[in-house]
Amino acid sequence: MRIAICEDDTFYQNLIVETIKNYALFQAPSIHIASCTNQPSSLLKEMAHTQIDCYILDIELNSSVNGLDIAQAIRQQDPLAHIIFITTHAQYLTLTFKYKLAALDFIMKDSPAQIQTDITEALQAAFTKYRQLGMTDQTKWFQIKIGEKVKNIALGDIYFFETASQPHKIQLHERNGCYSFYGSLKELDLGDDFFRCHKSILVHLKNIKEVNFKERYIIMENGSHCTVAFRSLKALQKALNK
Amino acid sequence: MDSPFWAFSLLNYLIVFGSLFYLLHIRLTIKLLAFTLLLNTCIAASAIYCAPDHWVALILSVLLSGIFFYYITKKSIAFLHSIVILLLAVLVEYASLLLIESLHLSIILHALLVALLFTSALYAYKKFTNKMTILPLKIELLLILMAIITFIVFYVTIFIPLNKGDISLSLFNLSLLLCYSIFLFVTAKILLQVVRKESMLQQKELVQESFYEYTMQLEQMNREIQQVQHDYSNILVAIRGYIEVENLEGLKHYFEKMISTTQSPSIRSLQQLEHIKLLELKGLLSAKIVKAHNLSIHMNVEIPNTIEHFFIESIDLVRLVGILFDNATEASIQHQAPQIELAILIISENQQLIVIRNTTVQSYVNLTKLFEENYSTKRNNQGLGLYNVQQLLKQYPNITLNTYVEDEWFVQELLIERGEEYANSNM
Repeated sequence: MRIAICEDDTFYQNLIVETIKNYALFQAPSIHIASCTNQPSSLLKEMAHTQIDCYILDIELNSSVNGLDIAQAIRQQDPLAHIIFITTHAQYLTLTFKYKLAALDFIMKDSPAQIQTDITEALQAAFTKYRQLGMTDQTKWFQIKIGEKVKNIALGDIYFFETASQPHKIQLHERNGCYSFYGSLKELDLGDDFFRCHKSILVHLKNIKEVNFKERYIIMENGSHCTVAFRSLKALQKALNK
Repeated sequence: MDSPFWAFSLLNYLIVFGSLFYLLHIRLTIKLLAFTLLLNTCIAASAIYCAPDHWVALILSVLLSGIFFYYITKKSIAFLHSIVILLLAVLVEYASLLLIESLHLSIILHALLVALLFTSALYAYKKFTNKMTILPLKIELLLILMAIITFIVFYVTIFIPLNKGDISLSLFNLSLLLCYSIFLFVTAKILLQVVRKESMLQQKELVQESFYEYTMQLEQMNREIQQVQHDYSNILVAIRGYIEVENLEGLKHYFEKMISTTQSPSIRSLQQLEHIKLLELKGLLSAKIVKAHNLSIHMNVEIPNTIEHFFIESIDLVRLVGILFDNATEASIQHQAPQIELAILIISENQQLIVIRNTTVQSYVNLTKLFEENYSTKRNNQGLGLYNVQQLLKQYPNITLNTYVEDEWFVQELLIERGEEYANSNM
């Protein structure tokens, strides 16, 4: 996992680097620091040609560009990057940070000992997530934006999409939750694993538990039922046998 | 078939379906057009085959159009609309007949007069119903009943004498009925006004209740602050003791221990509520926060900006937030470190976000089951729960609800967007 740091206070910069090196040495040798700078512009340049998995950014930088702007630039390029903010403000504002700034974690400038434990924890979380990403190997994600926060849902976890009772909205059912968003089933193009079994349902073929062809419904892995349209029965059978 | 049939069915189509499309704001698609034309043909055919008995076609028309539009829009007001449209059509038709008869005008003028009168009546009716908010079921049923009875009276007094060829009598009846229906419309309007006043009163009561609750919490908070002040003087005395014997290690230890225990989270959470200017919500949240605190659930509330109003009716907002908060409490209890975080954020000028998340040990499937089971078995819960959330969301297309489990957290996100219809409802 490659880490980039942007912090203009040398004291904190050294502290962060030291903590990361310590953590890497004892816990996860695959972690290394790819870039460490106090200039946002040089980080942005670095970003363009190296793959970086985790960013640690100070929000209050002495520059025209602050940590939030960098975060936005990062999000555009790599929606999956792990961003950790460091800040002096924002006591008790975890959710505000998540939803207004799309931060995955943030560390408060507190006593050095506290910062070290916070960084270690944040790194641990980032590393676990990084490894999960590696294991699912597919970079296929479905993204839902809520405020500024982007929720990534693995396609493999999705059970089905259906048109919601609210107009122009679609409901997404997956292993860990249920979401709704604006759109239409027609616009969703997620590949051959998804099958339109009904006018209002797009089902994930790999998560079907069983199909009742007589009564025309599908039972998903989580036990929910999806109706199958009469004229989609044959095509469904074909798609399942593939 | 002959031309009168087609002329009649076209006229019927325009009057019944055209005006329903107009009243319910439905965009016409080819599919809808085909369906409604088919229904219309059924109505027209029944009118022709049961020629002397008009009531067959009329009832069929009301039923078919009402059910069809209810199916499309899921609004029960469609039934009322379809009956009222027929009433208007009948009234207009006979009113113009009355004019034609008395002034001896031609058929073409008659048709023009009907069209003109009908569109203006429809326009007036739309203006009238536009002001109507969502009605309680009881009132809506009453209105439908009123319309049906009026319809029967119309039928008996106009159609039956007309069939016997007694035009002058039916014209006399018509003028009576015109007065009667105007009177009815006025009554309906007064009824609606009363209903609205009642709901406003209810809301005010809720505000008052919440405000009372909020002051109670403030008092509690005041007591807690006094307690803390008392504690502080004790702590200072203890610190002095450490300093006097120059036990630095002991002092450090004591200080660390004290700093973690003296901050009361419920005070901080309640302070955040200052930013909410909506008394109902303030009251509800303060009550819920204190309740969670008593269940030794760790609370954290984030309301960074002042919020004057929300883009939905406050009565519904309070219900929604109440249900979500109860879900969070319920879901966090089994966790070894129960914790609830609540944030009310203004994302942009047009988006407000309420996030409630709590620590949980359950998976998503189990959580949803938990809520459904709990709410169906609790009898005096006044019908809360996930089902009610779904019902409320149907009324507000501008709300998006996401619920999911992420790591150890159960997250409920409620995104409220500015919708034109609801934009000013709480101003």
